[in-house]
Amino acid sequence: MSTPIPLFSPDEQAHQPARVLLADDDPVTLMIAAAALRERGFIVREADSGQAALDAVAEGLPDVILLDAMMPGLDGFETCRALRAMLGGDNVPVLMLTGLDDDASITRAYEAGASDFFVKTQQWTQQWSLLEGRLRYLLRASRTRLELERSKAKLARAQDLARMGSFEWRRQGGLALSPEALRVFGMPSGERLSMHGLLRMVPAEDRRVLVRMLRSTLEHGSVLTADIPINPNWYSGDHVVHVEAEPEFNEQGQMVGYTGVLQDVTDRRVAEDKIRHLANFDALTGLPNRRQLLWRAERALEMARRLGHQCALLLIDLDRFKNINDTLGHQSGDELLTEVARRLRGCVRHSDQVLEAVYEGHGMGVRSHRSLEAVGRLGGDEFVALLPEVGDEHDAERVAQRMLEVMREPIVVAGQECFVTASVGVAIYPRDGAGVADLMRNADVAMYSVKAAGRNASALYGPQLAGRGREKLELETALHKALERNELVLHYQPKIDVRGARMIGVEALMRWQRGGRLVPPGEFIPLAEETGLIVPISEWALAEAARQGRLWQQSFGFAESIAVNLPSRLFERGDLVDHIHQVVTAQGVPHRVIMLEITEDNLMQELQSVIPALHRLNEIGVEIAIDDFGTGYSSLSYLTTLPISELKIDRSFVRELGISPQSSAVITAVIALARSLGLRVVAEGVETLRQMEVLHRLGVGVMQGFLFSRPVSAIDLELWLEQSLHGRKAPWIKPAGEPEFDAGRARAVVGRG
Amino acid sequence: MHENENALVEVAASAHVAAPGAGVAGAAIDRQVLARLGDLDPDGRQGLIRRVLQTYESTLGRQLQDLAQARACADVQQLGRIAHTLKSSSAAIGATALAQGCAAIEQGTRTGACMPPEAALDALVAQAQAVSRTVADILAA
Repeated sequence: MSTPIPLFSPDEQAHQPARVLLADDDPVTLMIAAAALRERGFIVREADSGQAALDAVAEGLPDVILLDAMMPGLDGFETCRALRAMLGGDNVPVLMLTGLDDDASITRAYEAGASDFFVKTQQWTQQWSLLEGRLRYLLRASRTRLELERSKAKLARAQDLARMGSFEWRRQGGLALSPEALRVFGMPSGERLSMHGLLRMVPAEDRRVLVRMLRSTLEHGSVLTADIPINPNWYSGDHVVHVEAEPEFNEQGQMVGYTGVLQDVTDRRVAEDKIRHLANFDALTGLPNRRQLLWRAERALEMARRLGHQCALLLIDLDRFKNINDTLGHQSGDELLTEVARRLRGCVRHSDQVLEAVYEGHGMGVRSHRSLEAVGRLGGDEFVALLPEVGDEHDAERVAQRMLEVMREPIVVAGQECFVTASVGVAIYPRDGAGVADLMRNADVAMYSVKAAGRNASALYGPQLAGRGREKLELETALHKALERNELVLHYQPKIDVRGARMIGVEALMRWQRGGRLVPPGEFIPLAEETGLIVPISEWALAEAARQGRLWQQSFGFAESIAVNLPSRLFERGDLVDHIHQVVTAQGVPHRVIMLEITEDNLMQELQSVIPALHRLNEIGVEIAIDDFGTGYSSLSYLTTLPISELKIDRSFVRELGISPQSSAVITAVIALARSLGLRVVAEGVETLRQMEVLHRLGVGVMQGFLFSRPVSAIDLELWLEQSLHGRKAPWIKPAGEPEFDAGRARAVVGRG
Repeated sequence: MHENENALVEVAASAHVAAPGAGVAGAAIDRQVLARLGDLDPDGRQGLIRRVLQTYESTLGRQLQDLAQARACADVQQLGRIAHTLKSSSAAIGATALAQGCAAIEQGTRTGACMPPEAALDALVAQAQAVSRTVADILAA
């Protein structure tokens, strides 16, 4: 059978002799015409009737067909009509041979689908070049047409794949769409879509914009480029059709219409929207992300500057979120963040739009900046709220309060109720900063000040907060979290009765395990005191000491005391005694397990307010030691009345022993004083045997220092006891030529006995 | 073979074929037309003229029979068709006068539904017989 489009290209065809099918019922004419055409290079197949011609076509398509119009049986017209109905037959050029001046036949020939006609004159069999010329022309036209058909088919296929189609619009005649273009609108080919019908598919609000744009385009005869939202109710979902068209002009230069292409770009638009969404919104909570929030903030500041109003930035940080994440797992943490996000966005007139495109367009109202309002997630457990217009700082504070309130309701994650609080810092434009960066930083500062003051509150930024360096604030936050994350530990340094070679107690010293590093107290205690964090930290230390006391009691019969350093402000708190009572009771250990150390300076500064607490502590069995004694200006008269048990000679005197004669004089004086008051004396910072010997000679019986042990963990302390003290392996236990230690060695028993 | 064919053209051109516009008997076939037909088969390899003339001769005999039958039945349309076919083939071999006669008859049958005058038909038959004889002479030469 024949194929609709020959497989070889038109170029190849051009080099091959053309195949002519010649049909005539008159054998003489047939014979002569065939001979003439062959002589002119054609390949000729003869057919002596219409039916014979159709049979020949069915066997193989010729390049051109010559049909005699007048034939018995199937005449030329019927044959042509039948041929056009055959597969592939509609593409073959047909030259109809008609009689002279037979206008009716010519018309009939065209009606039957003939490509052209050729008049058989009296002399036609003597004028073969005329016929040849006509045939060559037909063949060339046919090839060109085939080529066009093929490229049209290709284009149509490509357009179909690209969901693309072409269209024309004429001032006279309206809109005409290609079948592919109709398909873009979900319409079968053959249907008509008028401009009116098309506009009806555009949602009303977009239609107005589109009509306005079309009018202006027509008026200027300019190129049309537009993305048109289409939503005919019978067509699934919203579509976006991209249109590009160019005007066409007549000879007089008048615009007569437009020719263009249109394409369904819904998928592309969806992808673009998705990319834009991903770039601007937090994947977990769906809130605007940092980028989007900062963008909105910039726009809001622009508007505020122009219209002269204030705006506010609220920085919201969850308290102890790390705890939740660590104990319940990240998935629960994520759930919790999602819920927090939901609640927070309920506190503002949150607008979800990605505004970039819309906002930069025109037609936005004066109060359009309102639509910038949003809660965003900066990352982790940090959120930010942008209030594009506030009357004053109280507006912002109200929102902050609302945020704290919505957190009160417990959040259920992983089947557990979680109570979440947040710290909110507020910065107001223009008061607290002229740019977004300034406002963010200052809201941050305000937020950290809330953390420092104990969290679960909001604070306005103020210049008094400005001096606090970010680094310090970070340390502060980290310290906050250190407590939550159990990063603080107590290390213990034994107090040694050197004469008896026994441990008579330990001093607890705080350490901070921060990211694999052990931070010494000197680096964080001052900050903790400054920020008030020292209070919860000290409370924790007391509880931890009590707990350790119980563990040691169970482990090796520890019955001595653990000295905890407390700042004076803790003594001022009315609940210190209760607190200690609680922690020792909780562990089932006697009160005397806890001993408190207060520095001489601290004590003297707050003497009046501290004294009552000291008495009450003493009453319940908690002993008090004065730390760093000798460095301050103690009122000796007060010392006599204070309920204290121990004086700890400052390490500076010990270090100077044998170097400066004053230090031994001070130590002798302290010992004398202590004796007269009935106080125990402890020398701190003993590092050498020599220092130990001198101190011993001066009359100090109890010492503490690296010579005996550095501050070590609870487990290491047990090891040390086992090896150094019980094993008697420590060098200081058997100092050569010191017989007075012999007696003591017999009594060197700690626990276990 | 092709020499015979060339000889045939010679014969047609000299002895039996009259110049165009000559009397009916003498001008049955225009020799120039036959000569041009020979151009389509320059070396006479295909024996084109002979085959054409043989074919013409056999169809002419059949067509004359058909013509007689159509006359008897007064079948105007059939008469027109015969005239049409005979017109083309006659013109093609140079039987110009016969072709013109056919054209006149054909024209007459197309415009009116009446039978052509008997005299015209008789003249046509006489012309056809003259052509037939000439063809037979050429083929026999």
